[in-house]
Amino acid sequence: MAAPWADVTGRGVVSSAGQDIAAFNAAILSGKSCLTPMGEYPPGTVRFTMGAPVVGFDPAAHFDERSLGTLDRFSQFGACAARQAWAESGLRDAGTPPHRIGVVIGTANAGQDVLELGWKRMLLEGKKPQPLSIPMAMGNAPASRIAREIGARGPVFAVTTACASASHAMLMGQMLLRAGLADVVVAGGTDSCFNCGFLQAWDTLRVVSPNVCRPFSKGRQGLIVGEGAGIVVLERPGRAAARGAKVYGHLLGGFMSSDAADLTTPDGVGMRSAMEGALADAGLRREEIGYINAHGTGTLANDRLESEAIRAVFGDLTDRLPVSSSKSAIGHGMGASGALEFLATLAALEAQIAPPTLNFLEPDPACAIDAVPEGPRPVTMQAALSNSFAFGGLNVTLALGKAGTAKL
Amino acid sequence: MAYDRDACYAKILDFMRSEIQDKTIQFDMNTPIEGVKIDSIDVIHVIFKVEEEFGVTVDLPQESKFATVGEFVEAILKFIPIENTAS
Repeated sequence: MAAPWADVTGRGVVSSAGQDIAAFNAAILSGKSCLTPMGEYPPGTVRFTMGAPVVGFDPAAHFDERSLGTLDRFSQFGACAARQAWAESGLRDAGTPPHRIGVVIGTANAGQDVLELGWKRMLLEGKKPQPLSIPMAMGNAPASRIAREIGARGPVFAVTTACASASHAMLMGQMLLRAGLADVVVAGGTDSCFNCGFLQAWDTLRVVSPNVCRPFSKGRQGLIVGEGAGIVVLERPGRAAARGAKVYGHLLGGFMSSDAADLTTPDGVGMRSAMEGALADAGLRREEIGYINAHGTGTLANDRLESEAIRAVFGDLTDRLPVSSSKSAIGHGMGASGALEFLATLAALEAQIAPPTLNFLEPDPACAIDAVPEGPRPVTMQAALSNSFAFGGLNVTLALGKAGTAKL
Repeated sequence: MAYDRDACYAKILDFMRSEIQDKTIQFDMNTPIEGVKIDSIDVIHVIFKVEEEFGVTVDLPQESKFATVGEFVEAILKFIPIENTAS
C-alpha cells in the first residue's frame, strides 16, 4: 500500500497578501490586514466598502501577448502560482516521467471576467464576445495551462465545489498519489472575483460585510470578497529525500463530506464529519492537533456552526486549541480559499505561530472557541487542520503535519 | 454594402500577418498554408477580425483544408459582399 501522506515540496501564491510565499507568510504570521477600499466601484454599486483583491498584478510581466489572449485572469493567477511552486520543488529537471505528473486545480468562478466582457460587448456595444471566450472561461483552463507549462501528461483536471474547490483539489491530488496514479501532483485553487457582476451577485446574497471581516466575534457582519491562487506541489513520500529536495510540510490526510441539506446554510453535522474523518484518515488523535485554520467566513451561521462542530469533535480540548480565520486578513478567496489557507496553515506549522483572527471585537457566546484575537501566538504544534465548507453543503478538512513529522 | 475585392484580399492578408507568431514569414496567395505556420487560434482571430471589419458572419465548414494562403482567403471572401466590377 502506498504511504498515506503527501510531501509538500513546492508552494506558490498570488494573493492580496503578496505574490510570493515570503510576502504571504510574513503577512499571515504577523496578522497584517490585506483589505483595501473598493475604490474602483462607485458608491451605491455595492453596499460593501472593502475587498481583498490582488493589487499590482501585471499580466504583461508574466505572459506574452499571445498567451494573454488565451488566459482569463483566474488562469493567469493559477499559472503564476504554479510556476513558483514548480520552481521551488526543483522538479523542472528532475526527470519525472511526464505521464506520472498530474495537475488538479480548483475554481469556483472559472472565467467570469471574460464572460462579463462578452456580455458588455454584446449588450452595450452590439458586438460579439471575444473569439476565445469559451476556452478562456472553461474551469479547466488553469489546469490545462499549468500542464502545458510543466509538461504534465498524467491526470489533469479541474474541481469545482464553490469555496471548498481548492481543498477538494488538493485532497484529490493526494488520492492520486495514494492510488499510484501519479508520483507528483500540482494542486490548489484559483479564482478572480473583482468583476462587477460577481460583486453585485454577492451583494444580493446579503452575506458580505459592509466594512471588515471579524470571524467568531460578536458583531460580525459577513465575509469580505478576496481572490488569488494558491498552488502546492505534492509528492509521493520518499521522492523528495531521494533527490535531496526540501519538504515544507505534509498533507497527512483529509476527508470530504456532504450535508445533503440546505443550499447556503451550513450543517454542523457535515462539518463535524469532515474533521473527524480527517483525523481518522491521517491517523491523528485529537490531542495531536495544535491549531485549526477555520473556514471562518465571518457570517453568523458559519462561525456559530463551525464553532459547535469543533467543540463536538474536540470536547474540552477546544478550550486550549487555537482556531483562527485567515479570511479576516486576506478575504474569502472563493475557489482559491482552501489553498490559500492550506499555505497559511503550512506557515503556521513551520513558524510554530498561530496566526490571529483580525478585527475581533469581543467573544460571542455562540462561538465558544479560542479565536486567537490578541495577535500572533507562539504555539508548539506538530499537526493542524484546515477547514473548507462550501455552499451546496460540501465540506473538506485537511490534516497537515509539520515538515519532518511524517517519515517512511 | 459591397466591398472592393482587392482591398478585402489585402485586409485579410494583413489580419493574417498580425496574428501569426513568426512575423518574419513572408507570404502571398501562392504560399502553401503550412509555410505560414498559422494555427487554430490564429484562424479564429483572423475570422473574428474579418467579421468585425466587414459586419459579416464567416461560417467556414469545420475542418476545412486549404493548400495555399490564396485558397484560405478565397474561402473567407465568399462571405463578404464584393462589388460587381463587370462593366
